[in-house]
Amino acid sequence: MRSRSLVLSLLALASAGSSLRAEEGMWTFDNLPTKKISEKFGWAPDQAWLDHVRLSSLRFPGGSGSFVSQEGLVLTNHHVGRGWIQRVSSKEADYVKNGFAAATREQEIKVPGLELMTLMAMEDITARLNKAVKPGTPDKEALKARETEIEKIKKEMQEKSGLTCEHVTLYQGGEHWIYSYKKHTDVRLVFAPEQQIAFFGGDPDNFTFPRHNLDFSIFRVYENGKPYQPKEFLKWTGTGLKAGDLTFVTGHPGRTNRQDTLAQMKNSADFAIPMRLKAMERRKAAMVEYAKLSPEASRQVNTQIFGIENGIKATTGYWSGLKDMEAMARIEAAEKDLRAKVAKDAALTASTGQSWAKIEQATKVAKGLAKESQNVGTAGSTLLGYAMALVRITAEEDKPSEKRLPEYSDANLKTAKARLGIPSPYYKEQEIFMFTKGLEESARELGAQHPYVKAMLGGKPAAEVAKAAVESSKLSDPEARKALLAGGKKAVADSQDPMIALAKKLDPMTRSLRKKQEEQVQSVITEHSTRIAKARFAAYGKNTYPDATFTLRLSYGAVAEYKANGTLIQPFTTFGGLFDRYDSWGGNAAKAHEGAWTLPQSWIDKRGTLDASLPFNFAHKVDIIGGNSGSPVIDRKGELVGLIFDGNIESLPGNYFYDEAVNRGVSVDARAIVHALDKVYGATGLVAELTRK
Amino acid sequence: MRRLSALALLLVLPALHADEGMWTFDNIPVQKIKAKYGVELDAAWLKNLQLATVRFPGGTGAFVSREGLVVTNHHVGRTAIAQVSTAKADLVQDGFTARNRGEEIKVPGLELMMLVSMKDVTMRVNAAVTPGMADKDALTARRNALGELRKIEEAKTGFTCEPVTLYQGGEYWLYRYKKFTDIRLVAAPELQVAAFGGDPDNYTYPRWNLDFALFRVYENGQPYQPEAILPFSPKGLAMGELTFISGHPGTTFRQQTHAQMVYARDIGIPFQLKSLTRQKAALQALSATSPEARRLAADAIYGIENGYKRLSGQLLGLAKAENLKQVAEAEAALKATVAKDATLQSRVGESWDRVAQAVARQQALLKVATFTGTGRVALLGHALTLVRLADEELKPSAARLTEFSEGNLKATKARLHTPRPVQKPVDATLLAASLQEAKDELGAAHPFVQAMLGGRSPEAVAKGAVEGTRLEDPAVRKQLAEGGKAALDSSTDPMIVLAKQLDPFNRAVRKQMEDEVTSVFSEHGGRIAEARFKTFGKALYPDATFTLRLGFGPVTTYANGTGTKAQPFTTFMGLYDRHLGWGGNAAAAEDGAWTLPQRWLKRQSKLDLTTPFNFIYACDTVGGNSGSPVVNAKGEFVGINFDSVYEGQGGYYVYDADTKRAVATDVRAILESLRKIMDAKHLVTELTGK
Repeated sequence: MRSRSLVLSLLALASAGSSLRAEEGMWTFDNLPTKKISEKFGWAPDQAWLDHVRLSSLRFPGGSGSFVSQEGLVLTNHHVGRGWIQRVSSKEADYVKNGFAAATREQEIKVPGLELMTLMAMEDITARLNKAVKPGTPDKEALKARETEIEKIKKEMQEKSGLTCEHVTLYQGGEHWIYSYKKHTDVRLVFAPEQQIAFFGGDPDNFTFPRHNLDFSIFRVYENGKPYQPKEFLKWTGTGLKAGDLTFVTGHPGRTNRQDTLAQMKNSADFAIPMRLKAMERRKAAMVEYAKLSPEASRQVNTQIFGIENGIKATTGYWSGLKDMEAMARIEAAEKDLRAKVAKDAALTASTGQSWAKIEQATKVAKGLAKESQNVGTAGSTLLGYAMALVRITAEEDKPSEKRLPEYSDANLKTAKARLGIPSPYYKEQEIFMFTKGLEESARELGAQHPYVKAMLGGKPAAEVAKAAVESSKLSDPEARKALLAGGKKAVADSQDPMIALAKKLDPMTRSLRKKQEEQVQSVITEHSTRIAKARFAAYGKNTYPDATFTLRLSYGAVAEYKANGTLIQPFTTFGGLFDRYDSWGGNAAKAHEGAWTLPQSWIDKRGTLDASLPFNFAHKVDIIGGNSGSPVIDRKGELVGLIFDGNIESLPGNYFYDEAVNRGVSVDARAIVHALDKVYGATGLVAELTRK
Repeated sequence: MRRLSALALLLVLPALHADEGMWTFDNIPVQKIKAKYGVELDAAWLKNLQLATVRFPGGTGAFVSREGLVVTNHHVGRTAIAQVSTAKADLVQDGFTARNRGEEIKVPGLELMMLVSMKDVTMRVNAAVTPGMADKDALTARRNALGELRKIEEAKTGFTCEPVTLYQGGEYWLYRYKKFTDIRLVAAPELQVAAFGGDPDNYTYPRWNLDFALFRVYENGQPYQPEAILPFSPKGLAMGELTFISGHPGTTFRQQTHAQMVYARDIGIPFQLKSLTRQKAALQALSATSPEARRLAADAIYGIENGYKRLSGQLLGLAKAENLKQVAEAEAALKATVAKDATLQSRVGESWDRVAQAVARQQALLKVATFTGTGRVALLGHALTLVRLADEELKPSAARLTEFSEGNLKATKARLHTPRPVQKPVDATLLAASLQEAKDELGAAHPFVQAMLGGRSPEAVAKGAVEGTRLEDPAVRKQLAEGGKAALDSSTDPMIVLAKQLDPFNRAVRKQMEDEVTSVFSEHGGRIAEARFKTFGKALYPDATFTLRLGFGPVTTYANGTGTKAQPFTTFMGLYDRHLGWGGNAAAAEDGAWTLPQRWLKRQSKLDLTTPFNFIYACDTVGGNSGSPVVNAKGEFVGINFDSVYEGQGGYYVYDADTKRAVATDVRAILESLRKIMDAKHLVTELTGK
């Protein structure tokens, strides 16, 4: 599992039915179903417990994590940390492949650009925002007015608290909040196991269970050059879980579409998802082709290939939910029920009666724009991405904040600028290869006569354009980017850099496309989804949870088996099971399926010292989705008992609906982490710090 | 027999998949195997495998030592093991190892058959048919000729000869068997490890079943020295390695017409699945009432779930578009070939349509035929047998319902007098559910529903009949059976009364089914088979007939139901993983499905846990192949077949290379267990010479 979906599509929205299933829900911390939890499990969290786990939880870029020691140790998944481990690796020291263990604090490696966030406060601004929009304002203007007001509030609050404030839309606009975060910017790599044990079973086993992944990595947060002492952290369990035990998960589910209207879901099933899958398949093919060029090329893009394969499997799983006729019938019935309630109420009819039709219409418009939206862009080029940011930041920064593109508003500008200055690995051959593929793909999809294709290629072959632009551009150098940024509008206007030149041609095209999207699609969907959400509150009350928004949520449920593969799937796996799967595929000698079930040498060497009966992974009934990766699994004592790293294949339809019979989260058992650190890696210092012994 | 030219054959021969086929030993596709796998099977290799394979009642086994040791599945031998158990020594539960020959336990009545040779008598059987003979008379003439030949052959050879009809009448054979009647139990593991994972894991993989038992054949009080044996392979198999299986696949439906398969896919199987779902729901409701009810219902629920698993696996195969497309194409090609030959056309041309019409009748009769049966309600089944027994025994055998014919009567009576206990709450629940279903599906006004319910609710009728009956007592059943018609007529047992209501409806629909459906299938299915055999001859393999066949295919993975690739092998390590993953013996989850016998825990540390336990391979098998030896290219014993995965159950209809995987216990697991757990080093020595 992994992060939020790669491209945030435009669709999102209105909640169906009122009856939630037992363990359903990704709950916000202000609205926990404590009564329900208590009825089922005889215990429910109190405020102190909630504060403890909230302040212990962290947001990673695209994932989640938690503080697990007094001295600022942070636990997350290997696959959440992987991009960052890659960033501090080199050709000579491949920490992704070989793992990494800092023997002392001095050996901990600072990760440039990695920022972690703790959620310190949440404020409901719904009422204030509603006041900013007068009734009867057209959709387009209402959207703008709301955006302006939000930026204003954010800035106010940010100045007051010194925290990083983010606007959060819940219930499709039924509620608006400001979440304030403490941001940690000095984060260092402490420990990572080898990729091959973290991701044992590779793509075939991804999103499945029984599983044997040691999918964890450890970082440490520093402040002022010293290990940071968090106010709250999760103590490592002394006991561990057994089947039936209640677990909690705090993390950042990225995106669900459970409140989409039926029309949106149908569009996803018949059009949007197949189109996305096709594009992902092509992108994967390009990466794989590049990886075949050399072992070094393969090292460079392996993480990206993993990401795409992961995305393909996940998206295929989401899609399978939409093909589930029974589930779709339930969703249809729920929508009918709400629409009937709306129809019976004159006020609701006036506000919301047309909303479903409006959304359906906007979905059709989006469909018409889809091909261009997908293909008019930076064509897989990192440098063109930098160039676009430079062209836009320098054009936007002179405008008043509320007139800018939202990503460059006052609240966001600093981060956007800082991002341009961060050094990150750059490989010229890869850049040329990917840019060529991207341009070729766009030309094929849009046709040679499309203005974008003409502007980018100017009649020349894609390979020639890509090679010339990449080789002459200076934008791979962070200093060059910083200089242009500092020189502002004029420097960019005068720049002869070929990537800047391409960006200048691209900028007006994407702006115009974006405008169409905003005016004809996004504003309509936002407005009418909000109306449907409000109608839902009116009809059913706020007894439900909002769709996932990559903000902190809490899910709960027991360690439990489920039906699959013709039998019942065991709740736990063990170290013995890891070696069963290893040996059964013929081990490192056979390297079956591109070595999916091979093991690092360290595990072969230390095999005899391991206790085969100890739990390795487990399955539990928690409602999670991509973005929850790295979330701590917590018991009722508030202690860390596991680490979420995946959902089973049956959990993927969870993007659209929850099925408690088979939807399971998949976690690394806390006991497996400590046992491996101790026996395989001899990381006794780390074990002592984690277990406070 | 006329064959089409080689060219015509090439044009229309249905494409067999790589590892498809249950081949008779006179017609092994040696060239094909050589071309694909580079393995050349010669006559001696085949003869050795044939002679080393033995037939068990309902399964298969193999000679594996010079001193007459026979290996089969624990589940094939289970009845025999239970038979020699006593109140003090439950050998099924506790396992058994004879420390010496003296301790080997004779199993009374157990007979094994070794196929010595096969004789093609097609010409002679067909010679009994004179030109112009009516179909029905021709059938009788053939049957008589076969019977005569059998008698002559048995007298001449001293072997047990069985007539075998292949290709639905394309070929007639006499299979000559040597029969063994002194069979002794030598070793068996505990049921809990032989069938580890119980009903939940049945038909699935990954798996950890030590599903073997060892018997020894004696002759004249001495261990029998077989002509051929399969030596235990010390090395076992590797991933990708080619395997062969010899055994007795029971039944397949691969020659059904496209219309029949579409019916199974769209009507027959979905109807059964729906019905099973209702029965299961009813039993689950019963289960929820008390722990005792839960215990009583558990077996029946598992039975239903296993039926569901098998049928839904068959449905998976039929629902896969490519599979039925292939059937449709083969059928179209055969029709086209038939159309080109005037004689064939006049005999077979209309057969597909006739079968399709019969399928329509089958569909029309489906509900009545189902609900007027006794289903899973044991007491109603006993009652109906009793009601009929009195009547049927008075008739000549040929006029009776088939289960009461001379040939079948013994088995029917044995079922009636089984000491197997009846769970009354389960019967009451199932009967109520079935009556309710009949009412819902046929309508309250249907004469059958009215006759059975008499205006009362299904629950009331079921409760009254089950509570009031005494038929749960085998002695009561025996008394009624012996009392004849008079006893039945005067019986007021409410279950008997209910069975009397049911009897005429059931008889009527059975007759309709036979006249309008099964006889047409048999006649026209037979004609289509004739056409197929005339067209393709022995380029194809015949449907399964519970006679000796050979299959082949490599050890290989498949996409399993968890979303990943199934591992080709499992290991002892995985056995303990699954045990502990369920919380071990302490948790005893799911009625102890994954618990282990004590000595398997005590002696775990002695085991080499990396030893392979089970494996999957692409051989074409169906039920009846249980206990079949799996051998490598050298003809060595590498494992024993015990199951196949549910995704491949569509193989009853169509072979599907993507999902057809058989599951076997690895030879290395047998040896490791004998050595380290079962105190049977002497047997290891006998089996391996070490």
